[in-house]
Amino acid sequence: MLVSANWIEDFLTSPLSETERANIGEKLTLHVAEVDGVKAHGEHLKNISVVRIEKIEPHPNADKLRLATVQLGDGSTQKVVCGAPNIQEGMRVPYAPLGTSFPNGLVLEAKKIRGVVSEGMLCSAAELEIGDDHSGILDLGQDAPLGKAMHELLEINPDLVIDIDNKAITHRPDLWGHRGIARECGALLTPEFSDPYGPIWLADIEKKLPTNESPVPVRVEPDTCCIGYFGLAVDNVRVEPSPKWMQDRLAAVGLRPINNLVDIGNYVMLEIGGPLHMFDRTKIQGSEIVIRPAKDGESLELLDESTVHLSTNDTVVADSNRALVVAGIMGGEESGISDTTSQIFIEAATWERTAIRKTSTRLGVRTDSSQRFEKGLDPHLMKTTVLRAFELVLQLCPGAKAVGKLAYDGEDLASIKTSPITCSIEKMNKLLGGEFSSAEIQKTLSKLEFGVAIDGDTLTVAVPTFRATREFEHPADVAEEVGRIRGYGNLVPAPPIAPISPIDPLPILRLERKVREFLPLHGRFLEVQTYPLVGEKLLSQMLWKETGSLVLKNPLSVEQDRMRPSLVPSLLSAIRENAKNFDKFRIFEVARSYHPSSGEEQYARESREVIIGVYEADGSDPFRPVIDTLEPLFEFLGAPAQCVATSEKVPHPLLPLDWEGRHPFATRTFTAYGKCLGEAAEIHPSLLRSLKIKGRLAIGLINLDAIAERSGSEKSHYQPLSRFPSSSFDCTVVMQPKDELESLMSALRKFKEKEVLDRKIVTEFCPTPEERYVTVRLHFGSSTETLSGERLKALEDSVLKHLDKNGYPLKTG
Amino acid sequence: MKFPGGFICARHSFGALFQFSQTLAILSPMLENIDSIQQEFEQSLSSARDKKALSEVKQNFLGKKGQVSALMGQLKSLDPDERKVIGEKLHILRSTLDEKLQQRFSDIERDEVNEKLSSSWQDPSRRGSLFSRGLEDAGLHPITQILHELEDIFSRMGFEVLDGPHIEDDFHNFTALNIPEAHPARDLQDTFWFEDGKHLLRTHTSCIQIRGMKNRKPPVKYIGPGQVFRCERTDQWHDFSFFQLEGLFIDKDVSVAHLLYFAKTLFEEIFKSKVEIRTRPSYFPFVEPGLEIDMRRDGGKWVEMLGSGMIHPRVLEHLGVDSEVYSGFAFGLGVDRLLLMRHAIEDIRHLRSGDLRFVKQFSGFRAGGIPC
Repeated sequence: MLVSANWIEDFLTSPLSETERANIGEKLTLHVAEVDGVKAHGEHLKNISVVRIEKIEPHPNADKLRLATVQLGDGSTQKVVCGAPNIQEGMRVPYAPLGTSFPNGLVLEAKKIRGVVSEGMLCSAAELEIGDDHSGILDLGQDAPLGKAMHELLEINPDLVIDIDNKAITHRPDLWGHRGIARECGALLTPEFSDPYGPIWLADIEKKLPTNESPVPVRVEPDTCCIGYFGLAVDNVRVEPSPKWMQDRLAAVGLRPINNLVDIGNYVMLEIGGPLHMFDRTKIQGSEIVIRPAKDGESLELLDESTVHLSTNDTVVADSNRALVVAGIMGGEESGISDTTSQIFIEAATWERTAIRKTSTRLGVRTDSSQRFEKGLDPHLMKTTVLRAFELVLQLCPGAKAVGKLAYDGEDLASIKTSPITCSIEKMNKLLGGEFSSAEIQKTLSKLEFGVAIDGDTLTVAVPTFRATREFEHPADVAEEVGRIRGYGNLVPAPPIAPISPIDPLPILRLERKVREFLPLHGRFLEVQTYPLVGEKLLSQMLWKETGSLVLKNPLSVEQDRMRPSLVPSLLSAIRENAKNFDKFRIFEVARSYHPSSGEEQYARESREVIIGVYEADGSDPFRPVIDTLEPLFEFLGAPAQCVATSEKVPHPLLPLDWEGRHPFATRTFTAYGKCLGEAAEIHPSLLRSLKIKGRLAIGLINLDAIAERSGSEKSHYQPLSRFPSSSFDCTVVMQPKDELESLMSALRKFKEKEVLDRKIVTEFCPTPEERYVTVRLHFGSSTETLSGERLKALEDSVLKHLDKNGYPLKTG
Repeated sequence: MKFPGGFICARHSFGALFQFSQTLAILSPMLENIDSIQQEFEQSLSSARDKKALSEVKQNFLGKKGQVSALMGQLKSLDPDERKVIGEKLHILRSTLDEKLQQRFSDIERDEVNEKLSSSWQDPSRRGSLFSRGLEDAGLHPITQILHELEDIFSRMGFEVLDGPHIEDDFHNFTALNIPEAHPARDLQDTFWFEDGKHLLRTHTSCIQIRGMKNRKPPVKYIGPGQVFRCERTDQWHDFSFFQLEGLFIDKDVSVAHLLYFAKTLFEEIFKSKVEIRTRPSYFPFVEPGLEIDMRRDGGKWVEMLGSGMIHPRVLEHLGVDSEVYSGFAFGLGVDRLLLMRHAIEDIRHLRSGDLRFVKQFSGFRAGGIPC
């Protein structure tokens, strides 16, 4: 919202000082609401004055430039370089001396233009920022008095335009007009706030109204969003351009002047924050104005010539036959002011803010008026609004006169009262952390028009109606007023004193940290983030059958309209994109998958998971690196997972068994505590082909929740060091080519003599595709004795016999 | 003074020997012999190029039938005085030659090993990073890095780190936070709602505040970092999903002055330098008073850092805290924004694109202040 400093001064006992003008942006930002910028308007015109061109000579070094000698008001002359083609000797033009600063930031300095120093500048209308014409120097005509400053010649009052961030005043309906901003200035600056539209003014202006009934009675129907509605009929108005002072003020704050009546509406809204509407009274059909719910499908052509279709949730202002205005938002084209209007009806109403916001949002129509009503305007404002508009109509159309008294329907305004807030000054000081005296509190609140009574430590505050529409009811609300007017920056920061208490990190966050430590350092993985929202198309591309039933009501796009049921599809998608840039990479994400909850209490379950991917464009094996990463990672996480064959026996798999993206053989499941903790799988070549990914790809998944539940349950068991030597035994056995090494190991694990300390595979050797030999090594030892030769021999024989029995005969020859 | 090896010592002994032989040269022809032996030895030694030649030299001079032994044999024929002088000289000669031989031997041996090593030379500059082996960068996503950094700062100040669900209900996201029915945040424009119309994707991390208090009693201090969602069109600076960090501190007599002190300390920890702060009144439904805290360094530009305020009495009641007894401050920080600022990232959408070209630039584990 743009605010004019000159306009603010209408509400102050004295003008702002130069310093106050210079600092007003910062003051408002630090104490009231953020100011996006402050712009001097017309200030430069004070420096620029009327001169006469005495002589024009060619520029010695440039054909397109000329040297003009100009005579100033004091009779002195200056020589300026000028490129405009329209200058002539004897012409009176605006001249900016050196040192003039223009609104665009340019400051005139003495500098040579093609070798000749220009002692100032002659200006076009565009350069003065009073018009768009930049084709030539502005010809001021022979009547322009020499030496007259441009702001006087053009009757432009230099002003300061302050741009207040609309978002910073959403909670302050009272700040949506100059009067409200001025009230804040009165509390912050030397001049005092003085309201010309107080009770005395109200009484005076009301006296000017006739006492007979209004020709247009007003009736508010039930089930509307109307809080109150004032209407005033005025005759003998003439539609014409508004006076220059009004046009200038509107233009300064960014509104285009239209005609006196429309301009009055805008002027009053900007001045005191109350929107109003004016009808051409001759267009009102029937005997009254009715505020009623719109009919389903009722349509109305608005002032901006768009047509809206309404529903019963919207409120309209109607005559006996049709809707004339969408309440609080915009008036209809047909019943509005035209050039020939001479009888008007001025509306000033208050509407429930929620309803206005809903209608405005649904229709996609936001106006200066709806913007204000949405904030929750003070119901007491509407009477001031209608009377101020009436006053201006009288001023601008001297023949105008009111017909009948104010028409009103709605809530009993006298009954809208605010309840006082009682607070303890000591507590207020404790909340702010400062020493605010009762005198300071009293002064600050009074200046903001709060009623204040202080009795010892007890402060009783009466909230003005213009602040009461937005839940001003706690001592904290009062503290805010006191704190911000002094400025929180003037409080002395103090260290809080907090008791020492141990912190127990959340197991899940600790696990996530450990995963993120492990994967980059030990597996050289790179972390990515992808969106938790996916679409049906992506899921089906990745052959994912669970389509995700947590669907959004208002997605931004169908590509991201539901919560992901797994991390797999989004990671595969990321891998597909990255495979276009890199031949080989390792990637991981720590994130959540989302599942509808079966229980009544919970709507959704969020599963914390890790997904890793290893991609090899050249066809190297990606599966083993995945397994070899997951296994030690589980160990690092303190979850001793078993790496087992993938089967339907494992409950709650992270990859559905029937997922066709899974390689038929290169897949493995990690289990512990009877749960699936993780999975590893190479991606099926057919899926890769359909995704146009060349080479091979494998992924791994970890269910962190399952590990977090058991976190801390694993303890390491120390064995005292044995004083006796151990000995190792190697043997090479025959294995079937398609048999799993895991079965050999599990056979070895079943050899349970207590002297077996360790068992591992040493080498594997396949001389031909049909032959496969595996060398295994066992360590034998005892903590109580050195094993005798005979015992060792017996153990070795019994291992060989055990292996043979399990289908692994000793290699012969 | 320490000499680096036997060689210098040996030369020194030779020096003494020369001096001595000059004075006694006339007295005994044996001294001349010693002279010539050592000259001859020097020549043989320098011409011996391998171990075999060297052992021949050793044989010739120090062997049983070597020249030094021969002179030793002649000692018997000398008179006792001469024998004593010459004998001592011969002794020195012998140990000197021995020392020189050993030195030469180890020199030759090292040369031979080096010779072998040079034939099996490996390029010491060869290393993985010079080869095209696909993407080898490893590390954490920049958001993770900055979150870890922030969490660590808060942990060091005694704050707990909490967490909560992304899918929330109306109560935790709005009602409990004093966000009334009419607040724009509740509009479809800003919130992703699920089909049931009751659940939503959390629009801020403030819901973590509410959940965190469920099993805690004041005094408490904790933060809730995490991902939040807004139903807004995306552009260079706005994504529909981003990270926030929310925190609160509740105790008796917690004040705005404490909040200011805390904010300054926090920024100085994040930026590892002195900062100035300023405050602006602001509006958040869940705090009263509400303020924005800006900071700047070295008199530079003010940067918006923290939305904050004193927890609204009504929110305290929702948290099960007696607002008559306790007060507290709450604050929220835009993590993505801090990150974009730190690295001058031109498009927020890179963050969640999954693009390794982006992420790899943050590989490794960097620490340090955030330039702004």
